[in-house]
Amino acid sequence: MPHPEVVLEVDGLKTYFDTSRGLVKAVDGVSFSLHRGETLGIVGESGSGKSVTAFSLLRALPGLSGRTVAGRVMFHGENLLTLSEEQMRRIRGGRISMICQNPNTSLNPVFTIGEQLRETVAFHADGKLTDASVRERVLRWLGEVQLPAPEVQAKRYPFQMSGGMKQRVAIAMALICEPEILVADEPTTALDVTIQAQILRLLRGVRDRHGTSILFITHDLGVVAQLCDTVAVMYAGRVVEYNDIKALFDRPRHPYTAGLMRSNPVFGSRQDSLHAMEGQPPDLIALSKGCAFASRCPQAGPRCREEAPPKVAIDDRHFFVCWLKDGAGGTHAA
Amino acid sequence: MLLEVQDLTKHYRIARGGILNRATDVLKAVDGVSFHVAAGETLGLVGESGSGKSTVGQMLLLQTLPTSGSVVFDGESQEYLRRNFRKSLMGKMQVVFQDPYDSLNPKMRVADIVAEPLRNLGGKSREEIVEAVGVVIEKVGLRREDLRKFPHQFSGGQRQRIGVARAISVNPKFIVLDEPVSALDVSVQAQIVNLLVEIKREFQIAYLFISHNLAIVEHIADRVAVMYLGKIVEVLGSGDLHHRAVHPYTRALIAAVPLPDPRNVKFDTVLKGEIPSAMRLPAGCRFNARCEHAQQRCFQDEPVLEDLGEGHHVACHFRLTIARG
Repeated sequence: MPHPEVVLEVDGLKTYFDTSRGLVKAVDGVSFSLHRGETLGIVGESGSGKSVTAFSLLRALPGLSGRTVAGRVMFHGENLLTLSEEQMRRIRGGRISMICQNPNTSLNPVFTIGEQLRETVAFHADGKLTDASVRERVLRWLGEVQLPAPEVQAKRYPFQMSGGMKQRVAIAMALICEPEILVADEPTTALDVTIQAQILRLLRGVRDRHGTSILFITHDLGVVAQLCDTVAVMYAGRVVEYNDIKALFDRPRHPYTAGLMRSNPVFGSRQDSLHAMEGQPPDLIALSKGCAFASRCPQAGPRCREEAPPKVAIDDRHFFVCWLKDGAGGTHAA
Repeated sequence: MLLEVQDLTKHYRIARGGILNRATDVLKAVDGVSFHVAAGETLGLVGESGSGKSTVGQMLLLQTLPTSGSVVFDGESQEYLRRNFRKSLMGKMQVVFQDPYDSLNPKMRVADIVAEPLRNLGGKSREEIVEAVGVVIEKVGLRREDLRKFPHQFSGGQRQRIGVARAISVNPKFIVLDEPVSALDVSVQAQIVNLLVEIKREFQIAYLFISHNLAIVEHIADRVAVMYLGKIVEVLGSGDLHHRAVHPYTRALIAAVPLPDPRNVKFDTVLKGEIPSAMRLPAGCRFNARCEHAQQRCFQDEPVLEDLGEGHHVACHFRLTIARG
């Protein structure tokens, strides 16, 4: 599938946190590109750096202890990391927008849904839209996210809605300015599975109708398989594998990806026991000097614990980072 | 039968609001649930938020008192257990909670956390307790040295191992597992699921495994009960869950599971609507507004669980039509 145009290019992104226990390199040299209309999944477990990556590129890191210390985030020839806060505010919520795991993060409890959506449109339209057209747009998007009776919903407050409805409103708010890029950070993790299915179908429909590029952050391999075109697998602050969705599931190259797939029970295929991955998720303060996954890797050799592994090209765009020359199941490079 | 539950209900009175307004609504969290669990068996209890599945577990543990219904556990009625709670129940029934961060006291050492049920139960010397704690901590894959540490020194998966050690320390016959792996990372979930399976096999412990994750329930349970809005709508063998489920809600839950297979992308069969409020239950079948098979009858008569044979029970007026395909 040809992806014509790169809309976002992230290069060597590093975001560190000062903590009482020491420096945490939450994101430590992450690079990827997002094409127009593409859905890129960023997959990882807690502490992998997937959410910090998302917040870093929008320059919306929570708290004061985190800072992006290196890298570039190129969007239409401009590095988002060097823009002024005012320029960034124009982009955030307008040309690049975000939805979070908890819809309450994006909704203000003391304003109605309609007021909040109108304000978002008005801010990014810079007075170029009439009140009537703003109102029309709000109602149209409430309908687009399949909320019944948009006129009624617009007058309600967030506390009068269920979690699934609030997440629909948050999606409407993120998309109402028709952004080029939607950053979605675990948007369905807190929802029931039938509501998750509704939201995923909604996102897919919106993407197909509007050509939105989506950066979809999740820990759920099932959700990734159902929605994404490309996947970046993160472990301990780094991308360890980056591949086309079908190729990744056909043949995971990094032993971590392979292990993750094996340990995930698939509905409809009962096994006698699950293939559990060894060990615990990495402690980012006490990372070993070699590969961060070495202590859990069934194929780790002496070199893996000493030297950082190289990037191995799968094709001109995709890669994995490992000392095994053919990836999981293969042999060690000479 | 180790556990027999008959017509269990839990209704809450909710004030309508306003200081002078005394009117109340009734929230029917659990509304007439019957099931049984045999010794050494695992019953999976599946449902979405608001289905009442966790409330059922809390009532078995006497953390919540039922509004009505009967529970007979290990030959003793719950009335009796209520009066002799410590000796009768704690020694036989234990619990593992979802959140390994909230369920362990951060100020207690692991040794004391694991020993707590044994101490409360009484009848054992200090030395016996220390020995028993050492045995169970190794059984769950941790080391005796770990007993001196505090919960914050462990990862989520290890904390859940501590929770399991505490539950098995008294050698119970039955453990309520309330979403025991939902808060864990995928790579660690499988470790804990395997541990639970090993422990069940070795000690012949029966489980009530409460979860929203069908893939994990299918793996660990012998039978599965599906709850919707305070009722059990279907009970069947876990091996039959995938292909022989009949209730339209069970089938919708199955269809909504995102399969980790990019060549099998499906979202055409998405269930419409949301779970209604347990304060304003619809007349007839509780699932009627979301059901593609619903006919007039479903809006008038409430279906009850009917036997389809081979331990398969379904509460649906159109069970036979659907089962025939």
